Amino acid sequence: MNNKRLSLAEEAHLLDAQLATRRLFLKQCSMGLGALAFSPLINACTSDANGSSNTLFDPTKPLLPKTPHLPGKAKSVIYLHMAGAPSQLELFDYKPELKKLDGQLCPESLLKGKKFAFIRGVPKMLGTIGEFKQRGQSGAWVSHYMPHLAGVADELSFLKAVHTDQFNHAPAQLLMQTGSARLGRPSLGSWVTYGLGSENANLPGFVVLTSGGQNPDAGKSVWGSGFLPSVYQGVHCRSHGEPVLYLDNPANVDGNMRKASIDAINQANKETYKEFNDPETLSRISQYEMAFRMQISAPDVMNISDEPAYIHEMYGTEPGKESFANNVLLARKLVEKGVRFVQLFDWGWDVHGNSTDTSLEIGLVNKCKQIDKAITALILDLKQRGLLEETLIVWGSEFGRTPMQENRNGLEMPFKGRDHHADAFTIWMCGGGAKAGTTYGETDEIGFYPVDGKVSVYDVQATILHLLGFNHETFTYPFQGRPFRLTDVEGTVIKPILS
Amino acid sequence: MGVLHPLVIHFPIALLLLAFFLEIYGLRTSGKKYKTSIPLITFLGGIGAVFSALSGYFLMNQGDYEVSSVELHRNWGIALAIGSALLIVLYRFPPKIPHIHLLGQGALSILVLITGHLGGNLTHGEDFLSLDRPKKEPKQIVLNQDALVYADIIAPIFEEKCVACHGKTKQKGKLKLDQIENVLKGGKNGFYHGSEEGKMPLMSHRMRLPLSDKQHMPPKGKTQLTEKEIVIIKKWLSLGASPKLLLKDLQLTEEVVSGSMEEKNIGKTADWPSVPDLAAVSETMLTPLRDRGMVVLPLASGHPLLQVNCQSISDFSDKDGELFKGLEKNIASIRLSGTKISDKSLKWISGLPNLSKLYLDNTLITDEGIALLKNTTELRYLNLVGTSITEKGLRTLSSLTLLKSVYLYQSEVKIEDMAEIQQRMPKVYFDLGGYKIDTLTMEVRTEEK
Repeated sequence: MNNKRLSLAEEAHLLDAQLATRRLFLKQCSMGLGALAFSPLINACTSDANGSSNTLFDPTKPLLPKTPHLPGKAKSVIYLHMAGAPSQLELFDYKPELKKLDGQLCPESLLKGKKFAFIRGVPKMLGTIGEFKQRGQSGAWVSHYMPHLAGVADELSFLKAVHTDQFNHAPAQLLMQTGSARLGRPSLGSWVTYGLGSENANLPGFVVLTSGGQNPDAGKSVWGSGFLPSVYQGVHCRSHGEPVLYLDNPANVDGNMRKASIDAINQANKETYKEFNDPETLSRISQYEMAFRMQISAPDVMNISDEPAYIHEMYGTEPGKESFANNVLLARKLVEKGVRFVQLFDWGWDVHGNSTDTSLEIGLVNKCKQIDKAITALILDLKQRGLLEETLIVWGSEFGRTPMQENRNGLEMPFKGRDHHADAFTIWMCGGGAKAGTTYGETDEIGFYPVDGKVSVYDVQATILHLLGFNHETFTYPFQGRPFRLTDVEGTVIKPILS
Repeated sequence: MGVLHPLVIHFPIALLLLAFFLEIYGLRTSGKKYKTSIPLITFLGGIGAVFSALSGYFLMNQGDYEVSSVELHRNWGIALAIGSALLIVLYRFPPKIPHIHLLGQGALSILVLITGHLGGNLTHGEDFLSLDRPKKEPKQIVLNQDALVYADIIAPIFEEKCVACHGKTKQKGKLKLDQIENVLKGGKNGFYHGSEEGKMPLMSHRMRLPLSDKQHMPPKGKTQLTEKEIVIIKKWLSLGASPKLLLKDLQLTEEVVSGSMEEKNIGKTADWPSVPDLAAVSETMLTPLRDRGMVVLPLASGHPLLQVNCQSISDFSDKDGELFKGLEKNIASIRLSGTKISDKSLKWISGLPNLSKLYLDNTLITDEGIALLKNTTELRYLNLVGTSITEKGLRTLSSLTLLKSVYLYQSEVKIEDMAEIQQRMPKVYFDLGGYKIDTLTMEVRTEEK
């Protein structure tokens, strides 16, 4: 044994060398070669055999405008989601026969095998409270609940027999907005901004505006990006005060200084990227850059108080307050500036009849008052600006209401109200290539089941994607070893409502 | 028996490779204990190989495959069957040669790999395993009326959706669709459906069967023909399936033609001009525009027409028109909303022959500029919101026959002049805007129970 004392480093080196035996070398070689041979096979599972890879995602410019499969008619979407589900039987689906049955017990045959959220035992039928008239040249039925919207009925394209398979708010909202009743899928707006990018580099591509005092039951997942890169999730603007916080520079910091600090942060991020090669780092860099540009452009666009008085009069807006009307006006401004997808949620439509606010006689009237004029103004305002042709407005909810009066716990309710109903409800679209003045689909004489033109939630999603120029069957994103799409394995474009 | 081939082959592959592996493993002390099982595994694998060869032979004789392409796979397969039989014998009567079993198993495994790979190529296509398989570009089909129906339209459809099973290497039902002579020959049931001559071609019949029908083609689960493709193929077959037929000979309705083009990403939809001969612009030509901050995109992927958005460039002015030199024919839509352009820009704009959408809202243009637009005959949409256009300017638009909508909100056009303008251009939708919505009241009922 050599008695010479070894330094710690030398000893470590010697041990290391002892470990690197020929046997080890050969062992590692075979494993390494095996892995090498195996890797293309693994990759073969995710590569794009049918052009469905995530080539659309460039982490340095995630919102770069992109071309759809086909020339789309719509360039942007304003989706008005009435969270809680308004009663289609009071607003659009006119059922005179139901009125005659008012107060009678519901026949057993309708209840057999059905499950309701709250109805127990045998409920009574509830005649429609809306006073219906056929409106405009198209003769679409719109009730007295929506007197202003009735005036533009000829612009709308009604789907009267939409059905879903969820009768609770959160899963039904998820299904409507993400194509799955379970969490984890990207929302419609995320898919669209992923596929088309945004034409305005200074604003987010997908903006979410909420009103009604609460977020939708399904929470922020209804505008989440699921498995798509996080940059495609909806940007939720505040409904009180400033829509986006911290747009102003802090005291004693001017634009140049802010720019310099963001440059420094990005420089550090670039170093990190060089080291780890994680594309999310590039996303982060581009997010910082966009945040800086937004500081300049957003205050202008986000501020509705600069609009002239007659526009406020038209929409019924009150700047500074949280209101659906304010959001609608803001949505128009955003779309005008090139924002791709504006998602509005208005909470408070769950008309069970257990309090004044949820009664068909008072609560629903008040909710309708909040949206009726504003939506009508939105349609006419986009129209006069020449933007309705390329802006798709979708109005809808997660499901409909029953033709029976709710009898929570088998008891009589204090007000008139209806329970959740998944089998038939109404959605309408307007502009953006939807055929104006059409009504598609019909329900039976009490509005319980579709009898004609039955369409599913997936069909509605497929149609929205089609109007934007996507083939919903090939618009996919590879995740967990298979290509995913918004409509999964379902969905047919509803051709009768295309212009 | 032949149909069992794809099932049976997996046994010899797995078993013979396993036997080889155990032979190697048996070299180590810890692997010795498995050695006794090797003869049994080899025996089972060998039987599998013989059955595979037999069933393969039957499958080949069913006629779905061309003999020349199967030959190689067949020969290797026979070699494998014989080889494995030999090896079984070697285990039964072991000769005194060191490592003979190991060597035999090794050789057999190589045979298995080669045979298996050749067989895989037959079912999945030659390029199935290649690492960088070239991406299949969707073929663009030229759909002008003088296109040859077979060569330009149908052959690419067959190529894309049929020849994998009805082509050179594989001919299910003895049908080959790779060349027109073979198309006319038909498969084992002939060209026509039913026995009588002059009946519907079998292909037309099969395409029209419901998807659930076993005889439907392409089979369930494979890429289906689109409605328009079916219409074109059927019509072509019914007219005698001559290679000389031109698209116009089929006399398809406009709807079919434009629809099929829409699905093929090109051509005319009512919203855009028809430009069958226009080539797409290379990306490098668009760089100067993009560097200037413009959003420039084709209408759809592969479409030669472009839409241009200059909206967010605050200092975009008349001199920027020069950037569009060489792209004139490709521009179908241009958005100049809120830019600093004036009447001068209308000069280069009027030189865009395929311009179909024009946004001039909130710019300084006047009637004089608008008068230059009379030659942009493809114009369908004109946005003049917030400009100083008057009814004089509108009159000059009457030569634009395709014009569909003109937006005039906040312009100088007066409502009393519109009656006459509308009379001159009855098909155009003019929107003067300025909508007012009277607040209507809704009766709130307060009856309570």
